[in-house]
Amino acid sequence: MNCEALFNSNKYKFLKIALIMLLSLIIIVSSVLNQYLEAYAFAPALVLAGWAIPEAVTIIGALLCAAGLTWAADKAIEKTVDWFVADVAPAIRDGLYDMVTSAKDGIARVSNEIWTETRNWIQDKFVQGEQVITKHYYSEELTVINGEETEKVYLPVNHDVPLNEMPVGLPQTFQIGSDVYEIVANNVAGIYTDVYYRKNGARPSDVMVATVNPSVPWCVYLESFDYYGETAYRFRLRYAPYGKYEYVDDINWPVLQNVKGNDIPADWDIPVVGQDVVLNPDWDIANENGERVIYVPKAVTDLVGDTYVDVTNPQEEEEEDPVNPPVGGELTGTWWQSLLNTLFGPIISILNGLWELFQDFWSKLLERLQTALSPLSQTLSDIFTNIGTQAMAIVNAITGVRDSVAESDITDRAKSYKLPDLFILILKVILACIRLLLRALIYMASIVTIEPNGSLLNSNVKSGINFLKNQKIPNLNITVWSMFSSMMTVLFSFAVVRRIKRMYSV
Amino acid sequence: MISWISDVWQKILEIVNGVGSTMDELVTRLDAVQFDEDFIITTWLGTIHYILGTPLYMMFTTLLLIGAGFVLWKLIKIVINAISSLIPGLKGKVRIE
Repeated sequence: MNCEALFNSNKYKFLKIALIMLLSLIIIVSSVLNQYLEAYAFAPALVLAGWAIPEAVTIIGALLCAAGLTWAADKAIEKTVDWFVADVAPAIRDGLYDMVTSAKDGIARVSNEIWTETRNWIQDKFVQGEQVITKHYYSEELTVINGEETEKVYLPVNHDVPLNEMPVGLPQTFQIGSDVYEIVANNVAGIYTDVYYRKNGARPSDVMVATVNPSVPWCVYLESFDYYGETAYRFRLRYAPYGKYEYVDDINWPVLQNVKGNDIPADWDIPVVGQDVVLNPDWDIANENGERVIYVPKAVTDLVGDTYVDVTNPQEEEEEDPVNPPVGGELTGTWWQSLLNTLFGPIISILNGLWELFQDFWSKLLERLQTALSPLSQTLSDIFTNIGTQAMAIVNAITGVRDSVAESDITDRAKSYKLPDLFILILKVILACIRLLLRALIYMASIVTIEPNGSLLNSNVKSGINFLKNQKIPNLNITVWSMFSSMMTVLFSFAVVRRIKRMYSV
Repeated sequence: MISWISDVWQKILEIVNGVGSTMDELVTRLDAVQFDEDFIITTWLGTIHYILGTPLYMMFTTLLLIGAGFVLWKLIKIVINAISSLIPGLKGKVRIE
């Protein structure tokens, strides 16, 4: 009984069913886990402005440094990063979150969009040389009173912000004391956005819902103000009412009880030095492959005094881990890719080895064949050349015409390829086809590692795709794209299972 | 008559040279095909990855690889059966149905 007949027998029917169920289960669970992984990756990004992850400040600070800024103090770096993150468009902020969460081993990769927007922002706000930027906010240590217990909170707090200025916004989710706050923005068909905040999962009755224009920036911020002689805090929404494009409206939400802070300090001054490239419109850190790589220091204090030269070159203390080399070459990414690299990495190695062995074997065989056939080839060539020469001599003798041009032509061409060479050439073509097939197989096994590439799409198409991906379904709290992706993943899983079932008639 | 034979011989040599040149060029062209980052299929797959997103792209490539695996398995079966039929001493013992 051969292998396939053994596999088709009823004796192993349960084993086959178990294998198929296991495969489909792995595919579905992997898809679900991947969604959780994305959620996990997004979690630290949400508290970026709350300084919950200092690495985010260092990474974005390194980006600003590469784009042309230098600081003399770590606090100035934090303030600049805070200002930058709050000031850019939501799509760019998402891109920054992705950059921060995908940074690994002190290396961050910068996309075209992020780089362009960062440079635009810097050229708009800074000049070359030393300068001091004044911002109307500061990150304050707030004291939260819960009965007899007190807790400390750090949040960006704005005060006395001019109406033509966008305040520094709060993160989407944050905690003050034991209360968890969430800023909710429901985009309705791309026409308008409803904004409010939830406290411990529910909207307080005295928090009104504001309708804002989604095509202009808006911001929910924490404001300190004088409340009957004491410093009090409240959330505010600065936005442009629908149909307008200026920040002309503020909504004052209720005063936060039991939150105390220090007296309102002076405006925060940010001392910054603009490097020589800061106003150069052509400045770019892309290498010859078009990639922009930033080498991020371990702490934000290490970034003090650094220039674009420091953050665009590898740090001296960085060394590759010799104990755990990456499987499957320079493949990075999600655990999906790691799993697939683990699965297909050895196959690629084996195919590479086979290819090298094959090339070596056949090249040696070819050399030996050529060596062995060369006397025969030479003999046959001599015979045919002699026949040709004799024939032409007879022709010349009879016609009396010296056709020297034709003779030299025939001789030259006969020297180029001889009849026995055709057999060697056929063998060479077959070998080239096999080499091509092996290269195609290696390529096939590595297509899972191909990075996303939007170079074939123009900016409008990319904006449309990003818009589509970011649309949330009200109440369900998932994006349309996540739902579509999950549905298609399940359909693909079914297609795979159906294909296997049909093949083995389970 | 001799002139005719000379012409035929000349034609044969030209054909041999032509075939030889073409085959040599074919070998060069086949070896020149490189599957690298600039390969147009890589760009297309990168675009598909960009549009579909990583989860769907992984499913797509996994399905593609499984399909390619089955095609390879069929090809290997054909080769093994061909070799098996060429060697009478094996009496079809290594034949795969």
